[in-house]
Amino acid sequence: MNQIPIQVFLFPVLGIVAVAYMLWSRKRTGQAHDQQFSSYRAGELAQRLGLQLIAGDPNFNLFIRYANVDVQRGPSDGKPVHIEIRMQGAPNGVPLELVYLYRVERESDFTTVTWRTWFDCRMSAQAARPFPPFELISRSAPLGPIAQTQPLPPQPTGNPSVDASYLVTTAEPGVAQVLGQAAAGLATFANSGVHLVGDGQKVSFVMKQDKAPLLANALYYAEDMSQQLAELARRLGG
Amino acid sequence: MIFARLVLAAAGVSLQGAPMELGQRVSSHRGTFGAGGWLWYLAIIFLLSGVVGLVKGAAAGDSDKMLTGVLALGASVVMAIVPMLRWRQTVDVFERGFVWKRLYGERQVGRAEIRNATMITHHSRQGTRVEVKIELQNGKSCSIVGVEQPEQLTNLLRAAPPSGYQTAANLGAAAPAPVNPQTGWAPGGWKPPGS
Repeated sequence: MNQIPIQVFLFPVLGIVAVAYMLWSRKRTGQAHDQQFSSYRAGELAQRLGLQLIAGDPNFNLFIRYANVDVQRGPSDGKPVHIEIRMQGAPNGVPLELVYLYRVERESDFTTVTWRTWFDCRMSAQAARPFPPFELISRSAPLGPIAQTQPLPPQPTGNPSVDASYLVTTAEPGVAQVLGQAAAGLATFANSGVHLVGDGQKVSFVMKQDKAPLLANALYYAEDMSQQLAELARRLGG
Repeated sequence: MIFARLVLAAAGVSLQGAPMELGQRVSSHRGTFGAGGWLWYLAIIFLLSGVVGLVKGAAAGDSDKMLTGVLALGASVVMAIVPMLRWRQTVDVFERGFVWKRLYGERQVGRAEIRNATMITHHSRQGTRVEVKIELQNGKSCSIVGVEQPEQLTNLLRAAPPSGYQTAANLGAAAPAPVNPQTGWAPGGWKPPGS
């Protein structure tokens, strides 16, 4: 009666130690990856690209998102996770911008939990003059097809090898021809996939965190991306 | 008449031509077999139960067993309605709207009628289903569940129509198209700067 088995005390203590170790281990792994891929931190990325960080934490790692304290904690009711990074400049003589937005809201009631997620990551070059809207998408990309964003019809570029690799959508044959000539420079991004969106003012390389075009693979060649976008913005908008 | 429409639609026969006023087709999204989820499982269980009940009942001359079999077959048909509707649907997105074809008819919605589109992923014990919810200007909404590439469908429906934009094909007339003051070039006649 007076002898309580040792397991009654031992097992809860072991459980607490195991949970504490897992939390510590996860945090340490995040820090190690953040250190390993420090070139993806907003501050360092801005330096790599010759841009100025306008908004956001310079230590936020665009690739190792989970190293961020807010992302690790996750959203709770009325307290969303909101990460916004914005850097601007004109390193190649064309206004360039890199935007990263990650926001998660959570709402819970008795029966359901609703999560609202926003994600956007794109590097954009501003053209001097308006141009017809277009979209260029890799036909075959890792992690499944890339989703179109603009309701535009497919258009041949006049370059069969480009047409085999990319889907070009635009209402203007002239734009498709320019893209057919410029697409050779996109070969660097074959392992991430390519998603270019021209909205009539800006040419953007759109990236995703867990789908093609993979942010990590694409931003590995961030300098090359900024040059390609600047060149395309010049060709389309003068 | 409705039954005939259902049979024709199930066989993939289109009842109407392409809607010319919506422009060129941009993307097509078919329903997926998997969208039926666990309802397929229930439908198949009821179907097998019905067939076995009927065969056994007929062999033994037991009318109760046969009646149970018929009821199970009826339940199987009821269970298969939702998965069948999700599977045999197509959403065609055009430059200026979309057409949603289902077994019992089709719905054509112009781009101007669309207020917003949202992709919602529902997780529950029964599984996961992805819904594309389209809010219309008249306050109504329509919900499309179980089509291929729902993210692309949402993007395309949410996208604003290109401002002041007309393709050469849409103009129809043989006369040269006038320069659009909003864009600065005639539809189909854009040239790169400096060329």
